[in-house]
Amino acid sequence: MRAPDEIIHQSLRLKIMATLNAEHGEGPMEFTRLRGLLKATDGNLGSHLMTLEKAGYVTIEKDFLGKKPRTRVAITPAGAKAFRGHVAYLREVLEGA
Amino acid sequence: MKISRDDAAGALRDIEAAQARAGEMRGYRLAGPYLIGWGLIWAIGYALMALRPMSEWGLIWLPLDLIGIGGSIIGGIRSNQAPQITGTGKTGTWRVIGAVLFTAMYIAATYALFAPHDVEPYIIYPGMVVGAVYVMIGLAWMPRLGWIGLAIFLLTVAGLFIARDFLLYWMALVGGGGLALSGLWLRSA
Repeated sequence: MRAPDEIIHQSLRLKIMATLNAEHGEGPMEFTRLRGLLKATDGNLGSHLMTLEKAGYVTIEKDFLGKKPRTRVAITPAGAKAFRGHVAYLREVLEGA
Repeated sequence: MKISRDDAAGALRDIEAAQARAGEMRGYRLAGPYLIGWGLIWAIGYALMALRPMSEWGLIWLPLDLIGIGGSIIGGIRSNQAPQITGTGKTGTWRVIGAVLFTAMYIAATYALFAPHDVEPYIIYPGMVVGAVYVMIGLAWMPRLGWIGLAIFLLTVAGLFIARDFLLYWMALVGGGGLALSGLWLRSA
């Protein structure tokens, strides 16, 4: 049986990974859009994104769009692989493997 | 770390919900440019109808419809670059084109069947049908489109009662302008 991914399994981080994985292929997602989708606060989302970044599961890019600061987040190939593995583990648990 | 079956089921539900919401928002962002484009076409078409005699109305709409359909095809081809999202691949594009053509055919068939003598039905019926189609899409999949459809439907019908003397301009404004503004709202999702 597979092992759970403790970093991903936390509730908000799981939703972050699911959302970024669904948008994979569209390029990085703006922090504000992600915050709106997840209905999270700036601080909470930011701290969980940092945890995921430290694990190498997401990248966080900060730049300027004109004079406006912009933060964009993307799932990494390692993050996508870890997410798929964790989903497979959850299915195994559910099916009683 | 041990995860129970209930926890696993809950986590999978959360994942599904997050992915569905991301897909819905992406659907809005993809639909936005279509609404903006068709809104502009409506606005131009109805404004030109107001300025030209009725005998030229068909000539006004033929090129505008061709531009709209061509633009929809080009937009669909571009969105195919992200094929992993359901409903937006090549099949999705042809579904949109098919829906546009069938709606046009339905409106034409209704005119042929009921052959209205007054000019007003020719002006407001397309707005009513498009509004109704959006309401149905909204009820089934995309709630925001439902609200847009309801607004278009109600404003179109309202035009018959409060703007009969300048109905074509009303339709250019609330139909075309409303669609374009709605497209901007969707694009920001």
